[in-house]
This record gives sequence, C-alpha cells and structure tokens, in this order.
Amino acid sequence: MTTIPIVAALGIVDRERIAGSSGIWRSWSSLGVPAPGNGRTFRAVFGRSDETFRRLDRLSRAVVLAGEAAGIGTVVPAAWRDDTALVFETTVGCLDSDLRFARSLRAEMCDAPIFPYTLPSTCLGELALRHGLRGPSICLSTTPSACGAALREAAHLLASGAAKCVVAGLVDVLLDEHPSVAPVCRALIAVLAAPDAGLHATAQWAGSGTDAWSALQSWLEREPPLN
Amino acid sequence: MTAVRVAGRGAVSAFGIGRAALLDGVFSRANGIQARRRTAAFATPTAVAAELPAADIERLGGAADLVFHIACAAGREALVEAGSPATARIGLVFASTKADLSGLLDRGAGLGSPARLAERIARELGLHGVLGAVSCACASGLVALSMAARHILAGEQERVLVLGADVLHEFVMAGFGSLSALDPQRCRPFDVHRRGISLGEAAGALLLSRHADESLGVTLVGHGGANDACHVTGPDRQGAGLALAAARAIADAGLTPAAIDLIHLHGTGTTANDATEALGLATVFGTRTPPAFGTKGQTGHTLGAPGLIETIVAIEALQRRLAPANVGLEQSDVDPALDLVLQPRALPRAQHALKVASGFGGAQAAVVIRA
Repeated sequence: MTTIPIVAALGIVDRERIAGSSGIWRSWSSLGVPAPGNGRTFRAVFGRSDETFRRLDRLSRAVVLAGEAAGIGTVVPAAWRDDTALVFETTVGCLDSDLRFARSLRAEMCDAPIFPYTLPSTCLGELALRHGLRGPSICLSTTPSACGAALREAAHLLASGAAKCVVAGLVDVLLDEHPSVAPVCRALIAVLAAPDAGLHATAQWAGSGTDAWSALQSWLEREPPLN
Repeated sequence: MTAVRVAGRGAVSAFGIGRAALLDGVFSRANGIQARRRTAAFATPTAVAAELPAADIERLGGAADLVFHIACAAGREALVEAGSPATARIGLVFASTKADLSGLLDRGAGLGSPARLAERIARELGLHGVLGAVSCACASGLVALSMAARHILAGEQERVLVLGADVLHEFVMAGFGSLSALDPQRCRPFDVHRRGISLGEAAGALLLSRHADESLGVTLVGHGGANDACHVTGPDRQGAGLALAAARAIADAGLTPAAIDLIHLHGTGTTANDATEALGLATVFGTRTPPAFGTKGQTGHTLGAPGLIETIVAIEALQRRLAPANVGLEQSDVDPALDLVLQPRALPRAQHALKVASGFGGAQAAVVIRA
C-alpha cells in the first residue's frame, strides 16, 4: 500500500470538551452538562436543531457531535458523498446501550427504542444519514492492542479506490459503573482522503499503529482551533 | 479487483455440523426453522427458531460458550478442506453482531464483544492473529470477506480465515420481538403473507488465499459496499443503497450486470426489506434479474453468519448449476423484475453469482463470486 492519506479534518468529544478543526472548542463545564450531552446539546453548541439528536444513545451522540466538530458537512464536497466511506473502531462497543437494554429486560419493561443501538454500527448510520455518506460502512470491534485498525482499513479503502474519502473514527462510551470495564467517553473522528484528491491537509497522517489516534488527538490539543 | 481464491469452507447450522449438512438441507428444501426448544423459555413473540440440533450442541461441548465452539468447528472444517495449511501464518477476520453475550443477562465476560471472542478463536485455531473483528449488523459477513480480500490484494496476507458466527440469545430474541420484526411462525421471505424474520444460529467459514494452486475453482472477484444514509433500522424505500453496493461489486469485478448468472438474496422476510431489495436489484438489472433465491426461510436469519454460510450456498449453486427454491415463498408481491426461483431451476450458464446483504445502520454489502 503506497497511498499515504491526508488528514482533512479532526473532531473530538471526550470528558472535557467538544472540539475540532471546524473551529468548535467548548468545554462540558461551560455547557453545564456532562459528556456526551443531552437532547439540547446539539443546538447549544452548533446553533441549529437536529430533529432526532434527542433520541440517540450516548455512543451516537458522541459520534454525531465529533463529526460536527470536525466539520464533515463543509470539508467533504457534496459531489463526494456517495463515495465517502465510514470506518470506525470501538473497544467498548455499545456496552452502554447493551446494559440499558439488559436492565429493561430484567425489569420486564423491554426498551424497544434502544435495541437498534445495541449494534455498534448503528452510530455509523446516524452519521451517514446526517451527511449523506453513501460509501462502504465498516465497524470494527477491537481490543486496546489493535488500536488504529480503523485508520489502517481507511487507508486500504483509499488505496484500493473503494472510496474517495473516508470518515474514520475511534469511539468508546460507557458512563455507567461496570465491574470489569472502566468508564470512558471518547469519540475521535478524522476525515481522510488520498493526497491527490484536492482536499486541504489539516493535520499530519500519523500512520495506523496503536498510538496513531493519540497522535491525532495530540495535534488537536497542540493546535486548538480558534473559535 | 484481482481475484482472491477460496481455498476452504466450513459451516455449522440448524441442519447440523458441517458444510455438507448445510448444503444437503438447503438443496433438499428442508427447513431448519422448528418449534423452539432450547430457547423455549425466552420471552419473544414467535413459536419458532432455527436452533442448532441438540445432539450437535452436545458434540461440540454443550450450550455454554456455544458461539465459540461453532465458530471453531466451522473454522477447522475450512482449514481441513484447504489441506490443513500451517495456521501460524493465517490471519483471522471475524464477523458477528453480538458474539458472546455472556455477562449481560447472566455471568460471563463476553459482553457482546466480537474482538474478545475473535482473540479466543484465533488462539484456539493457532492462527497468526486477528486482522479484524467486524460488527456491521447483518452485513457483517460480507463486509468481513471484502476486508480480508483487501488485505490479501494489498500483499499483506497470503491467507485469511474469514469466520462469521452468532447464536440465539434471549437478549437478541427479545430485541427483535420488541421491534415487531419476528414472524410468529416460520418466515416467508418475499411471500405476500410474510410477517417478519425467523432468527437462527450458525457459523460459516471461508479460507481465502492469494495462491492459485490452493483454489477450489472459486474466486471472489468483486466487492462493493454502501450506506443507505436514510434511516438506522429501515431500508431506503427504493433500495438505493443495496443497488449501489451491488453495482459497485459488479463493476469491481470488471463485469456488467448481464454477466451475473445467479443472485443469492438477503431475503429476511420483513415487508419493507424484501420489497426494497427487489426494487434495488431491479435498478441494477433492469426488467429482469438473473434467477434469485434466498435461504433464510430455511436457516433462519443468523445475523453475523449469513454472509459466510450464504456465500457457501451460492458457490455450491454455481458448481451444481442449480438455483435452489425460495422455501416459504408461494406468491410474491415484490417487484416482478426480481426473478424469484419457486422450484429448483437448472442454470444454463453458471459462472458468476452476486451475494448481497443489508443491516441496521444502513450498511449494505455485495460480493461477486466466480466458479
């Protein structure tokens, strides 16, 4: 594989903030709600409504907010949307929604609306429908030792010509107490394209190794966009 | 795309352990969807499911850790058919929706993580390691096949074992029940009286290789993916995403739709999915599609496994030059351009098959098989 992608945009949602290369930089403390927000957060941060944000699970909220912070809507040309792929990786998966659905079963009050969110790929669908992204969708379940898998697969898709642009992501959200999984809230999104595609490089490609996502996050922290 | 060879196949299904049981069941028009036994205590609004035979579950080590056992059994069968190559240089791509659900409603550490299960399977089979664990809802199996093919074509791997597995669990059965997605009786994909899906459990395995001398005479020649980008549980009303994935796979194979001889459908049995699948394929093929069949009316919907077990059936259909019948279908109400096979039909030409799949989150996938 010889193609080294460019990083056209970055967005992050973690326990401290929503931030991204679109220029957004808001702390959760300033918003007065814990990560990844409540039904009003989208309007509070981006100044416009999102009809269905209120009903999203927490994993999808984090992904949708990180995508907005990256500025997918402005960075990915409209003519490319059919050829823009989504590749995400997650270690925790949708355990947050799994536990909520399991609790509802135990209480014999089956929480039907949450069931589709017990699939980790559903959050990709939420991002795809908001931005009209009709390229291939890949959701990878990973262990910490395989971190970077989504970046590797994104590079494969670009190199093989299966996509012109890839929205790659690392997402893990679990806020409830669990005996064996530590609480976490992080959604990191990178918009990637082939170097000759014509998109402006915002950050440097950091490879697809286990520290690649950390390197991209560090870039955002070193060079916080002005808002 | 350059071809990737199929070197081995393995399956465990409601028809029993082994690829032969699956194929005998499908081509004899048997039905693996039966009255629920092992899952009878699960509160869900259907009388039936495609459970693995009880005797086979015992042979494999019992109901505890079942998804691990069936995945390993399918993987071993594929490796044996390939002549038992040295496993230490074979990577694993694993596909599953919920993998091992232990720890959610009972004790255990599976927590629905395909990655955790994949690592256990790789260790058990002595594989080099896990290249990826795909969780793309019901499109997982085909997405995994395409991902493995890219690794081979990029020169990173010589052989990849692609495994898909899911088992019946109260969590999943109650979930689909809560969405009113289950047929109370056996599902009837594409039939005018269809009322939903029947769930099943299975594992399927394909060993892919870059080496021509390891081929069973079967190659994967095209791959396509897409997202509906319109809804997270319902399909695009015109089947646009599925059409896009199918068209991309055919183009990736360097073919035109006229070169496709057979379609193995997704065919779940829900009103919307079957209707939109027909519309999407009509978009690709025009006034008449090639002969088309699905097998979820026999195996149940096995979630993360169909991409593998249905590709195995499609390969067999090409090799037998015979399209199996759509079991459960008596009268179709979907787009008449879809040439649904009502009785087993001999194929005058059987070189290329198209396999398609769809899943929650809008995921669509397609693969073109050459035999």
